[in-house]
Amino acid sequence: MTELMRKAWLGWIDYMGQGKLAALLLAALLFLWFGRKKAGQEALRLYATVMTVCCILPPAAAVLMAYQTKFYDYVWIWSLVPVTAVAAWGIVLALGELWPDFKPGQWRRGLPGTAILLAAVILCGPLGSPAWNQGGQGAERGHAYAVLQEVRAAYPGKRLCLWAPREIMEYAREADPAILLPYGRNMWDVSLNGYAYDVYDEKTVEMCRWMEELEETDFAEPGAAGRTEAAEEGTALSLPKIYGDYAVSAGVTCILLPEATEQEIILELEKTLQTEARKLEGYWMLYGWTD
Amino acid sequence: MEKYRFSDWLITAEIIIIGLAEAAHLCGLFFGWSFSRCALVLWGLALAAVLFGLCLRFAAGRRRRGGRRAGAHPAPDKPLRTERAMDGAETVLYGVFLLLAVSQLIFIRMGNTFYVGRDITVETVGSFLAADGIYQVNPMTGLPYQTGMPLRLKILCLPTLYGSICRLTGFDPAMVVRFLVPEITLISSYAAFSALGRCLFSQDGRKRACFLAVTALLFWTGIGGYGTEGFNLLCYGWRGEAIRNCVLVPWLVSLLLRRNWKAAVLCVLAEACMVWTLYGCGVCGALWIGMAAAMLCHRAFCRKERAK
Repeated sequence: MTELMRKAWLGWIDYMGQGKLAALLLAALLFLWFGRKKAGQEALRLYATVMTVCCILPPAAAVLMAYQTKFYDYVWIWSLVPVTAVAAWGIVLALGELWPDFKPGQWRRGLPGTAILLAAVILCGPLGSPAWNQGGQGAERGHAYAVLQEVRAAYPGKRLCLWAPREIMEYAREADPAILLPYGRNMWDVSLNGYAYDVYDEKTVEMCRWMEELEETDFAEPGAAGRTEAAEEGTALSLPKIYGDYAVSAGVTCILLPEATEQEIILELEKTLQTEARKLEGYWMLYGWTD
Repeated sequence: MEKYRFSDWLITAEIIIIGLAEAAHLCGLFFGWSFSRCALVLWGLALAAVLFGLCLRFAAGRRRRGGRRAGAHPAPDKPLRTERAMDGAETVLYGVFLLLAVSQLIFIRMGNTFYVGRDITVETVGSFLAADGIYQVNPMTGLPYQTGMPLRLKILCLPTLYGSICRLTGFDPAMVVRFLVPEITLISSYAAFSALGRCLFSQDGRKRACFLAVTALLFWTGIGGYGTEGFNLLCYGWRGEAIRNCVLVPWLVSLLLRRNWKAAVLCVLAEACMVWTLYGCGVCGALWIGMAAAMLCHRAFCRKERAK
């Protein structure tokens, strides 16, 4: 319960950080209770007020989070409050007082107040582009779709199990449900783990890590992704061979590597898989070992 | 009790489709039916429901006509011609609302800001279609499940509904899930808010129009805040949570204000079909009980005041 209360408190702070819609709701509720004209619909006012207070106070919010199965984030307890409906109700009544009946003849009196109120409403939102779309999600998706289309064209009608960098695997299943993956989006988006009891074995996790290292080749020490410590001492297998074998045992039939991957690694993988890499839209593509 | 309007019928029809989708989904899940068969059953049942509704309407019309011919009073649900023409201010306000609503439809169609975190709906629908079965493979990998998935999520019907729409229309899952469904959700949400506006401002057409325009503005305002109604509608409109918060909740509030307790149960059932709740007692159930409690408190308070 203490943990839930802490989450509720942090959730409230985060919720207020996203915009001031809760403040707008509180202002609307105050107006509905204490405005000059009678708002009516007392049951809705009472319900909205009590639930708003419950969502703000951490102990009550923790109970509500437990009620919504603890699976959902704090923000979802606000589903219990018809936020937009109550805020809009309050705003309409306030506008009604500023500009009675919106009579065109009274625009001198009504328009400035209405403009200020609407500006305040707009400023209550989180201004600017949504936080999750700063990196240009659309462009990334478009690029991934184009690459996947080329992969499909190179591999028509066959079972395609693809191992590729994250920016491709992220969109592979939505672009073409016939494409199989050794690991899915839940490898990097842990919130998706709630959708399956399955867990990945150690080899699959290592495959993902190695691919991420290859993606960061530009920033990493040259050669780091190609050798284990033991390999550097000349006593063990090199990483491309190890992960090539892992990929085959995981049923992978096609591998995409970032264009910046070291030539040494590609040669080693070609040797392990007995196939030849070809260039494709900024990636090295290896396939054909199952033919 | 106020009469059922077009907006009410629209949302009721959607809830019935959700109920039918749940039936088809459970058949696929527990009897191992193929997905094609589930989709066929769903649309067959939907067609039967439409025909049944039309028959009921026809029968009701005949009864009414028969009653009038026999010299009886007009049926009580016959609308009286009390609707007046819209005035200038109301037209402007509806114009502003339409402008905002259309801009939102265009925004959804542009499709650059949908939120895909914590969601695998497109992959799930795609896997249903590709495997021709419900949860035959893990949607995230396309490979068979090793240990399975939680039953509480498995029984939710939206992927089957969306997959059936794909089968019916021939659109791909991303198109249906990210564009078509959010647009339907947005329109349904405005239907629900329109029903609510009628309850809050029953005598004032201008305020009803203003209410819709302000609601549309608030949706735009909330777009960047995860979990807000604006975000749900414009970036996450295919999720059960979005349909619940933006369609079911405002409609439920309007039903409760009209004391239509029976129809309100539909919202509770629809939520249980779409969103993982605590044994079905989700937001709609809590809201139903909360509003009932608030009404009782208010009535008790009024009685006390009168006694004074």
